[in-house]
Amino acid sequence: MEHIVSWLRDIDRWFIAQVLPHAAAYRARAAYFCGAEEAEDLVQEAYARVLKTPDYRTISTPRAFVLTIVHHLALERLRRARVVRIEALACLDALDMPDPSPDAFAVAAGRSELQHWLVMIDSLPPQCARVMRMRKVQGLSPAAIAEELSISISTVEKHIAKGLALITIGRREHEARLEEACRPESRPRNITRN
Amino acid sequence: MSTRVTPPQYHAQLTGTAADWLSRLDAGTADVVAFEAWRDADARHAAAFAEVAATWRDLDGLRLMPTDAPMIDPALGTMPRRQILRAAMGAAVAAALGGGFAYRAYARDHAVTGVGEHLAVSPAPGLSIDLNTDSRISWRMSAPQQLCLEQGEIAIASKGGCELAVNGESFRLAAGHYNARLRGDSCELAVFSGGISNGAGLHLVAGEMALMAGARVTLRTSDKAELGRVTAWRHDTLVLNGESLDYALGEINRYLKDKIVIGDPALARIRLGGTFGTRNPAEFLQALQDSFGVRATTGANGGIILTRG
Repeated sequence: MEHIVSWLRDIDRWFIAQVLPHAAAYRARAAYFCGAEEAEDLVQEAYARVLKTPDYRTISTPRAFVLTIVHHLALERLRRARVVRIEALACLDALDMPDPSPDAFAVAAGRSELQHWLVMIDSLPPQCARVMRMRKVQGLSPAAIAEELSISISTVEKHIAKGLALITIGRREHEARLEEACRPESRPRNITRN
Repeated sequence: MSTRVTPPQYHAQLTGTAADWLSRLDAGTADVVAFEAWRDADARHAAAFAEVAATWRDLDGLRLMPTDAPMIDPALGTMPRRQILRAAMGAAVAAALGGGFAYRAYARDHAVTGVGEHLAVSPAPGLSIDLNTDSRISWRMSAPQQLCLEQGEIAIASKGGCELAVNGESFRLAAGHYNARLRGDSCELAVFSGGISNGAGLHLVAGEMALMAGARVTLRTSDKAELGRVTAWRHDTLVLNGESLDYALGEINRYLKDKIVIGDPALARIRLGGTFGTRNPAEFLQALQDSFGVRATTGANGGIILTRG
C-alpha cells in the first residue's frame, strides 16, 4: 500500500530545522574567506555535503558542523586560488575559529520577518503577488485560485513557482545584508599570490 | 574534492527548478517519480528543494499574522468577513511554523490527515479533495473517481462527477462542489453546486444538506450563509452562531491535540457567536474571557480547563 508522503525526507526535515536557520552565519563565514561573490556557491556545496551525510542524526551541533564544512571547503579553494585574502591566510589553520555571536546572524522567524515577506510578496509582479497572497495568506487551494482568477492550474503553478523562487532568493540576500550589517571588521584586503 | 565555482545564475536557476517542482507537488500535478529522480540525482538539487520548502513552510506564518496592512486584494473585491476576522487573530506564528507540513499527493490510494492538519489531494484530473483535520479517504488507483470517506470531513470539487461511499452507502455526485462529514454513525452531506443521488431515491440539489443516520434521512435547505459556515474549515475558521459552549468545544477540539474541557458544568449553557481561527485556540479563549469571564488554565497533561474566573 502506498501512503501519503510529505515530499520531505527525514534528512530534509532535519536539514530545515537544524541547518537552514543558521544560513546567514554560513554565508558570513564563506564570504569571509572567499568573498561575497563566491559565498553562496560555497554554502550550497556545504549543504550538498551535509545532505550526503548518512549518520546525520548523530551530529550534535549542526551549526558548528556546517561551519566546519564551510571552513574546509574554503580552505581547499583558497589553496587553489590565485587571489587570497590576508586575513583568510592567517586563519587557514585555525579550524576552531570562534563563532562569536551564534545568534547575531540568525534571522528570527517572527513578526518582523513575516512583515518583510509581505513586502517581498508585494514587490513581485502583480499577478504573481496576487496568486501568492491567495495561496499563502488566504490559504486558497491552487484549484480555487485558478477558478477565482479564471486562469489554468498550470498558470497558477507558474506564478507560485516564480514567486517562491524570487522570495527564496530575496531571503538569502536579505540575510546577507543583515550579516553585512552585523560584521564589525572592515573588509579584508586582497593580495596576489605569485 | 571539487573546487568548481558555479556562477550565481546556476543557483538562481536551481532555486527556480526546485520552486517549480514544489508548485507542481502543491497543485497535485507533479510526476512524483520524476521529482524524486531529480532530487536524488544531485545533493545540490536536494538542498535547493529543502530551501524552497523551508520558505514555503515559513510563509504559512502569514496566514496567522496580525497585520495592519489590509489583506484585501482590490482586484478581487471584498474578502469574506471571516478572512478579515481570522487575519486579526492573535499571533500564533510559532504554532504555524511548527505545524504539519503536508503536500498534495497524486495518484495515491488513500489520504489521511492528523489532528490539526489540512490537506488537499487530487486523486484524478478534475477531482480535488480537501481533507479537514483527522480525516481519511481512500480510492482504488484504478478507479480514482470512486471515493470512500472513512473518517472525518472532506470538501469535494469534481468536474466530471464521482462516487462517494460513506458508512457502506454509495452516492452519485454530479459535477459540482460538495462537503461530506462523518459524525459517528451518521453522515452529513452538503451540496454547493451539482447534485447528489443514490439508489434509494435520494436527490439532493444545490443548497441542500442532508443528515443520514442509517436509513433515516433529514433534509434541509440552507441559505448561503449556512453553507459558508459548513466550509469555513477550509479557511481554518470556525463560525459560530449562537451555539452552546459544549457544541463549540466539540468543534474546536477536533483541531486540537490538547483538548479544551469544561471544568464547571454551568458553563456548558453559554451561547457563542463569532468567527474563530482553528489553528490556535488563543483567540477563542480570549473571547470567552472577555465576554463571559471564563478562565482557561492549562492542566498537567496539556489540556485546557475552563472555569468561571
